[in-house]
Amino acid sequence: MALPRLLAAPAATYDGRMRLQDASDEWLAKRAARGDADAFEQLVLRYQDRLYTLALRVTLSEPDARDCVQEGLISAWRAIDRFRGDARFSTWIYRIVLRKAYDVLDRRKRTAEPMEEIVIASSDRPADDRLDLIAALATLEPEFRAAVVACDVIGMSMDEAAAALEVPAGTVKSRLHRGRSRLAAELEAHRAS
Amino acid sequence: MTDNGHTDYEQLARRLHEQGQAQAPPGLAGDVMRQVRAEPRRPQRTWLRPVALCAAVAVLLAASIGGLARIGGSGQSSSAGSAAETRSAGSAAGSPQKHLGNLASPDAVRPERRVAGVPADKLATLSPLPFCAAQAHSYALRVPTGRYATVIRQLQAWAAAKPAGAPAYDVQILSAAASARLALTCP
Repeated sequence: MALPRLLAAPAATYDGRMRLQDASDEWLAKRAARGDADAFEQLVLRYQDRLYTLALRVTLSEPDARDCVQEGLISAWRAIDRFRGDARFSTWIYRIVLRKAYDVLDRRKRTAEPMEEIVIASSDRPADDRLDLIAALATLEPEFRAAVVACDVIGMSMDEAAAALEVPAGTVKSRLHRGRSRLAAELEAHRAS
Repeated sequence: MTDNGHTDYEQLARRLHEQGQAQAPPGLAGDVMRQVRAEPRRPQRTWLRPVALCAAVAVLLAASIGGLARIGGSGQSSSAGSAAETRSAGSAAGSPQKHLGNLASPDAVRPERRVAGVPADKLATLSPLPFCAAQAHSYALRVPTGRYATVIRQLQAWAAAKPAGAPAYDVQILSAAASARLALTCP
């Protein structure tokens, strides 16, 4: 059924599936807040890889990463009417999934799950230097790893990473610097051995 | 940091971006959307917020207008205080609680918050006159809520009957807690 003319979104941005793909995140979020599941699906398709990467590199576990993304997206759907558009949608959704990832790390700390097993549990293990890099990343402490993943792997700006990680930009900068230093040292040590 | 590729931060960042990416497992989006569609959003009642705001403003305005009207009415009533009222207030001062309900009712005369020219000797019977450094011609009188109307009537009666030339003070009446004591203070 066609939308009534007054309720319909601007024709230039939304009059069907193809146009939905061209719409901005914030516009899709507004549609989703009004109950438009198709708009939300577009956001899911747009962000699922980045969110999964973020969760996987922080939690170091594929099943946990999948759960984080799934739960994070469902939480976002339930709370999307509270997304006011002050920040970018990407920052908002990254923050939600990162919180889920931190919850996993906290839970893991409480149950003392060994780190080695988690890293090995990943199927992301090609036999080249990619493994070295991912394995080296896994050795970083979670707060440094999260900063490196946010800025270098996902490509967030310093401000966006600060908003997503819920720390000041200066803290992100310092964590990123220290994370990269440790990562470089780890790779150097691996190469030397 | 050396020039070595592994330790160059820029190159490291580039490698992380290229090699750190992962693909979401197949079926993830489908699972999410199945759950999303199973719990459809309640449509937002966007009209409710402005309507509630307007209603709140209207209530506040009505309350303000009502309050102002009462203050205006109280001024007229107190200026029209008669000898009968004065006598009534005088007797009420002896037993304030007995007349409280009547005086506090909406139809009762609502007294001023300030009474001018209250004779000093009469005022001193309520509470000792405090020494105020600035030679004040006025005092503040803290009155427990229950005795508020009665005391104001008493003060008005005293002011109306003030002998010419007798020392007098303006009294500002402040409502205090029901358990507070009647007390004169410097303004």
